[in-house]
Amino acid sequence: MTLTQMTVGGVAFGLATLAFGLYLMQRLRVRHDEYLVVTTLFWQSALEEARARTLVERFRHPLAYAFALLCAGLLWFAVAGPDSRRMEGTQHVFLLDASAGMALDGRFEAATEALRRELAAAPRDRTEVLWCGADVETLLAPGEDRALLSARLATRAPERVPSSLERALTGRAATRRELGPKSSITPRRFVVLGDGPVREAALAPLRATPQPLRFERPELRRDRKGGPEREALPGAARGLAITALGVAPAASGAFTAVDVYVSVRGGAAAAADVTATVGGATLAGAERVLERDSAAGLPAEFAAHGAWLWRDVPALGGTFEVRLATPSGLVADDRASADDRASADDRTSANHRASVRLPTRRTIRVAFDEGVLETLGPEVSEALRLALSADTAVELVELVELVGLTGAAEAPAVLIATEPRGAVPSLCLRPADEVAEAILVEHDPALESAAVLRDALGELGLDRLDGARLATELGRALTVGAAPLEGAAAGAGRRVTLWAELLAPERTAFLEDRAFPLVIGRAVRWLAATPAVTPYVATGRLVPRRVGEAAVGDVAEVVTLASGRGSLLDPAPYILAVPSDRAAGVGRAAGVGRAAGADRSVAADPARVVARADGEPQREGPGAWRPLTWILLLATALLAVEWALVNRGRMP
Amino acid sequence: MIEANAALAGGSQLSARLSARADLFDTAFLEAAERLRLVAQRVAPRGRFADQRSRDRGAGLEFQDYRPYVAGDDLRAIDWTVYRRLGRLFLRLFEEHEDLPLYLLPDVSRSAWLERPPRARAGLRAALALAAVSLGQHDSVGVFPFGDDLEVLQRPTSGKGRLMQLASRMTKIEPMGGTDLRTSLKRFRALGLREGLCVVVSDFFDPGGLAAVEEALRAVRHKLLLVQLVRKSDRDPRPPQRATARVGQTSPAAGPRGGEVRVIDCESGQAHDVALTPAVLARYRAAYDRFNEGLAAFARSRRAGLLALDVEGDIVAQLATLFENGRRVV
Repeated sequence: MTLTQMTVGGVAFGLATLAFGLYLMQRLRVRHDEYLVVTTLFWQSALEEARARTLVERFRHPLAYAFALLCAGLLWFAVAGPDSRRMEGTQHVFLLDASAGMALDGRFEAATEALRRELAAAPRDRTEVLWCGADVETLLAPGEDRALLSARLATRAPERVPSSLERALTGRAATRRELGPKSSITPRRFVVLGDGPVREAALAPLRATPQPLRFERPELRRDRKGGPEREALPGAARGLAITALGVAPAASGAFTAVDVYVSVRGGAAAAADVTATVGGATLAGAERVLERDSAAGLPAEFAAHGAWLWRDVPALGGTFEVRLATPSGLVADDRASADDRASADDRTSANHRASVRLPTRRTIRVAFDEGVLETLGPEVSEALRLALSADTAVELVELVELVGLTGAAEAPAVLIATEPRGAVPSLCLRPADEVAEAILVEHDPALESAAVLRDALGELGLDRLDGARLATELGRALTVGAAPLEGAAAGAGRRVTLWAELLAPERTAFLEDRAFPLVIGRAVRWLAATPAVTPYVATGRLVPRRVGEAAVGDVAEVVTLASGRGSLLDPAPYILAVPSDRAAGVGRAAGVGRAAGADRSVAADPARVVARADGEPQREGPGAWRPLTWILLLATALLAVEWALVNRGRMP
Repeated sequence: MIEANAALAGGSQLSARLSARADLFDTAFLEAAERLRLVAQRVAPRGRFADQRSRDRGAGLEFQDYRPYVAGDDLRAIDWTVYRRLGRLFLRLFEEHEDLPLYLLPDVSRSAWLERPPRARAGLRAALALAAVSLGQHDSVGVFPFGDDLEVLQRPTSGKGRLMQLASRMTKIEPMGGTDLRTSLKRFRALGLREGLCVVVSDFFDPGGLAAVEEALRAVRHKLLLVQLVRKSDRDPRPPQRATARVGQTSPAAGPRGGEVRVIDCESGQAHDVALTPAVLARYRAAYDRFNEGLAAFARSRRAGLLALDVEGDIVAQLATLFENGRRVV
């Protein structure tokens, strides 16, 4: 335990606890030495004014108490382990370099080890760890348990990208500016764990902020034997690679279309020739979305470096394939395929061709069951009709038409009913007397209700409901439940049942709530089993798996676009040709930096501190000041003084 | 208040008492007591140690007064010269001298035997020395040791040859429990002894405090001489004697240097927890001084004598100094 891991309140609480404990001890009876005397007549008189301490008598020894408290307080601080490097209230930001150069000579392992050491002396609630790979990600957010770090690092490895340390620092500076003057109160400490270059110019935005700054770069203890072996890329030099492939719902709002993003990294990514085909047909209209165009709806994964974007690609389940040609015109035959269900295939070390299977998204046909409109009343019926009509994914049809389509795989259909209609996906509006739960989600019997309910809260938009207000208006508690759909076969069957009273305008104001069309729309989508779109797959990323959806193949755990044959290889082979007679990693890091447009000349000694705001020593050496030693010595001296005073009768 | 076992050191007290009795009256002390008697004779040329005019009028040597004759008076006392001159019968009255009985009341309570040397030893020596002087003046001497009650060790008797008998009896005195001056002196008064000099030899540490001491002494009809047995540690209590240590052994190294102690009254068993701080010790000394000043004030008001004898010093030497300075009258 160290003081740096405790808040000031924690230390104060500990000190107060000590003070209280000592106070109790001061008031406890003590064991006396017994002495026979001729008379106690005069002792009685003397004690009338100064009685020995007892549990219930007044506090007689404030000076002795203060002395004992001082000793105990010093020992408490010694136990707490104060750190002279600590800055009160400092936000600690650790930047873990995950660029390609870190994969060599065990640098990445050394960096993670240094990160763990640094974390041991940093307060949890004010510590943040950033992964500086292809993108800057938050590896450990403030307040998160340190145990999560190991699990998150276990599946990560350096990426085939240049250092993004400067980008991370620049992004932080931009965040500070956005937060405004209030954010300038807290000092910050940036600790760079890696060899990536950081130019002085990159620090200028941070220096422009008024808060105190400190930059450190601990020395990494490298173990050359422990690191992955270098492996030269076969074939000719290739400086480009597809590092991420993403599919997102169309920004235009078209339900049956998606937008596809492709991220390409390398020395001449901007000039790369990227072509795409869907089902063999070439797609035109590739749009190069640049870094600053995030306002156009670019996912965060692609926003940093920019990407190629194909808009409104029909989501008909076809294979979207993207090909990458180097400036020299060479197109390798390596292939990496991935789809939005997290399947991936990486047979080669570099990725110049990737494919994704697009989701199948068809318009959902919705019909009202017989008698529903009469049962619900015109106001509710109209509200439902309006809500469904406004949804681009929904097409309102007549009941007869819906029945005719039921059974066809490509025609998702949902029934709005007041009574259960077998296994037909339906949104049932039933009286509260008939259903215990206000919102009942009935699902595939093969799934667990708890898991379905957990996902349904978000998928159905139930988390948007103001449950407290609705419960107050209805005068009874609202419950949400999930249960297997009776009579449904495994793998099929969904039903959502709502209390009809929820929609009754004389009982609640739910129809006027902004959440009403959202809940209805999402319920229809869920009932139609609309496949979710995995936002993107990228190198080294875990791919999310949905409950109830089987993973495609056995490679769904990790997308290994950049880890062919078990070894992470640099996407820029020429970098590996740099002789190693210079400082370890310097040339390589510089080479990667050049690939990203960085200035090679500033990539000097990776262990050198490029900037430090407060001028404090960067690394803790053996001669660093250790307040713990002095505090322990002082406490020992005070204890000796106390012992002497007690022996001389100066202290009780 | 914590009641402690007062008999904690009972075995140790017994051995100490036996040791004290063995060397109570050695040859050197008896010789010193004899010299004290000579000194007393030298400084009292008019006769006896307890030289005192009696209130009785009788056949003395010195004319004192006349009074009218009444039937039954001794005809030999009629002053016939006055009768011839005045024609009336008057008796001549003469001052009658008598011996002064000495009543010795040594304190032999349990506390008197606690320390080393015990106060009882010094008290009995002082009593015997005073008895020696008084017997040498042909006065009668009675010994009445007391503790929580009073015993009659020797009824008033006179004669120089009684000294050794008295010493022999005093060596057989047993400890008598706690100190209770009121009960003891009440019993002494009930003996109905004729008026004499009552010498109380004690530390006067009655559990009732100074008020109890004054009340008890005020009831005594005799002339009073208070012999206070003191020692230096009475005023400076450090180091008190450990209860667990052998009684009678007072070693500065064995006592506490400070801190929390529990003092136990050897007679009543009452215990007090004390933090031995300088402030507490100062208050203790102040209480002791107030006690002594009160006792002296009482002696002055009662026109009684008050002697303070250091029990650790030579008793005879201290008494010799007293007699060389003349009769002690406060």
